[in-house]
Amino acid sequence: MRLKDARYFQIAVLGSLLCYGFFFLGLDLTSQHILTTLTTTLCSQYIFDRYYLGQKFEYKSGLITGLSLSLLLRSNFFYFSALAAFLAIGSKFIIRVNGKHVFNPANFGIITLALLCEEAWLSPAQWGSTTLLAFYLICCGMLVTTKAARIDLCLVFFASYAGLLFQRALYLGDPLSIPLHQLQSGALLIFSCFMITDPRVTPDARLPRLLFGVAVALLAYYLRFKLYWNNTPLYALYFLSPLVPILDVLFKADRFEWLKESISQKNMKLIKETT
Amino acid sequence: MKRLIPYLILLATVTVTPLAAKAFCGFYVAKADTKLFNKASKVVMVRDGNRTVLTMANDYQGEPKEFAIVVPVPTMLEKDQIHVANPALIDHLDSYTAPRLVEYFDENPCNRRVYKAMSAMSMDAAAPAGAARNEAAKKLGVTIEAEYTVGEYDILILSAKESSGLETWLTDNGYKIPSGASEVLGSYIRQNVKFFVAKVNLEEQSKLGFNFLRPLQIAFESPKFMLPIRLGTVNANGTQDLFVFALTKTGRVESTNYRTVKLPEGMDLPAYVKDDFANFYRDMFSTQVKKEDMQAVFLEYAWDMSWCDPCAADPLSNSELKELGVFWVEDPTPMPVYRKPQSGQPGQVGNAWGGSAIAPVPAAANVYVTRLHVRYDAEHFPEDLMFQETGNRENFQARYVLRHPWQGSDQCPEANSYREELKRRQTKEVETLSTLTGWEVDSIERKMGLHPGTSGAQSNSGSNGSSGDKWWKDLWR
Repeated sequence: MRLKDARYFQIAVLGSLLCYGFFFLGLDLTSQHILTTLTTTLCSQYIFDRYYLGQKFEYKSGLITGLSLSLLLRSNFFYFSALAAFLAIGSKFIIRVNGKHVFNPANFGIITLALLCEEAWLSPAQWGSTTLLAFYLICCGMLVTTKAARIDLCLVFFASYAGLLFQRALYLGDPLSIPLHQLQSGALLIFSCFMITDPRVTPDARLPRLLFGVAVALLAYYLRFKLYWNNTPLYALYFLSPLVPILDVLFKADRFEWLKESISQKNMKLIKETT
Repeated sequence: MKRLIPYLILLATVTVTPLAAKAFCGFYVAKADTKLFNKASKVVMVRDGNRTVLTMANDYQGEPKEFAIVVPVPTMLEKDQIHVANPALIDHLDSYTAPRLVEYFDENPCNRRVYKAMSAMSMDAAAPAGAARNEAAKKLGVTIEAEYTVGEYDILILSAKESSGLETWLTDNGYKIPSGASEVLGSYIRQNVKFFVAKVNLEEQSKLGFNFLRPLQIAFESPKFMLPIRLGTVNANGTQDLFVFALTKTGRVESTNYRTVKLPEGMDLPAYVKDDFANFYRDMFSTQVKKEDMQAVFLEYAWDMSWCDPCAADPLSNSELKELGVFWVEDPTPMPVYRKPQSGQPGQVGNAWGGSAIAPVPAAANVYVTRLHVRYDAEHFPEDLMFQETGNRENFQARYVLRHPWQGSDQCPEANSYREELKRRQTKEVETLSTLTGWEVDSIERKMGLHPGTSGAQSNSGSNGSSGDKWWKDLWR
């Protein structure tokens, strides 16, 4: 069966990762956190869709954001989970330039909360290398088979970041097992397959998009190895996302829509009408 | 652009009890070809913001004069930034956070029960060091930045331009460099670290009257929250164990580049384990390490330092914490301690050494302790250990429970159902113990006296103990 919308795959992969982490890996994921996050994202999405924009309820987007938040964020209290979820979805509707949201919702929710308070944090290394390898393969398969719109960005970011890690190891004379180990992070997996590839917040044109991927990798590397921060790809995307509207103005291109068929059909109609 | 403080530290210390020998996370350099045995080391990391105080203790077997350490440090250290600690502090912290065994006695089904707890894991402390110097260092690109005598240690702070120069300098000064160390040294040199080299000053040691080497402490400011373990694996014979005691303000510390796993805890074990707890814990830990493919850091304890329940030892006093480097503790007077009344509820509050459990203290010192245990080698832990402090204040302790069966021979319906329940419980205990440790079921049952013809401490001598249970007899009562 061929699914038209890559988001079904994303939901399946993120959902499996969450179930695996919760039931088999014994992660510090509480059912309270997961339920609060999912409920708040879906409710917020519904309210903003129906009453703010007056459009169809986009439950798939809300669910992807909710699953990403459930996987990456940890907090002591359920209301922090709810706040992150609300911030995530709210940012998607409120912080917009030319009708396009500026931040990846989950990224915005997580990093804003992590910057604001100590009660929320990320746990990047709780998956184990075997699990991650399996999920990397699944995610790559997903990106390829669904021809996800932003696979170029995913590849450029990952190649740039991996390249930086390897050049560092070569410079220091370290064994290559070190950069390989550094690439085995749950946060990096979710980031490179589900966050930076979010087609609604990346530059529309290919050239700036690829440059954007390199810039995120460079900033993530700088924050990681010069300032010694953790989870730096997420911070890098957060700090660089405001550049995307500028890049879109400088480099014009078609806006991405999840269901391309509808655009193609519209274009066909237009062509027919004009001819 | 302002240069950011470079890399952290490889810390190694050695506390020497000339008897036992364990490892340290740093790089050990011996002057002679003496067999030095690296097995376990302890590091206390006090961390808030960028401020860090590290206390390093290792068991070391050998003559103090033969011991020396090389520790990469992020910055130049002034004399005041180096201190020698009392090993009793680490012992106390070790006892307070140790995995513990809690013991209950089943009551006569018509009566009550008693309980008490014991802590089982206790480790020795240790830590040595010594340093060498050389006037020709500069020719080799090695600069002796500073030279101090602190306590029984002669300490040098070195910087180096290349690993071969440093290696030659160390070799010329009588240190034996394990093969493979120069690559790791080179990596640290390119990260602009300084090297803290310490040796024992025998004269000072005899003046001070210590016949063991005390833990070394250093205080510094660096954004990097990590423990360098790579050099420590170079000369390691097999795996090493490292215990990290992190003292923070906010909450639990976890590794950011290795999986941090909670040890299984809270389960009931056969009562005979009481006399075999050390073996149980060792085997259980090894089994868990294997289960995680030796790629995990294990959480043994995470608790607010102002209380414990059950207590394996009393919480550290403010003056002890201060000595360990907890710089935000202002008041050096001991913390007030409130004893929790014993509830007597089975399965709830265990009770500790001396029968105490300590409840939360109001306005406590705001110190949260995390005890991590990692077994590592170069293959499974290629990278230094990186950490982060999280906001997680959920308490966790590696705690195991013994329930001594009631041995009475009273006959009553309650006693009969107790005996049946006991059988089920013991079967579960056998399974649990076998799963946790990998021990043979048969051997566990024999030790429990569950096999016919054996007489174990827990054998259920009551009626209905055989396999021919009349399970239906209470069905329609």
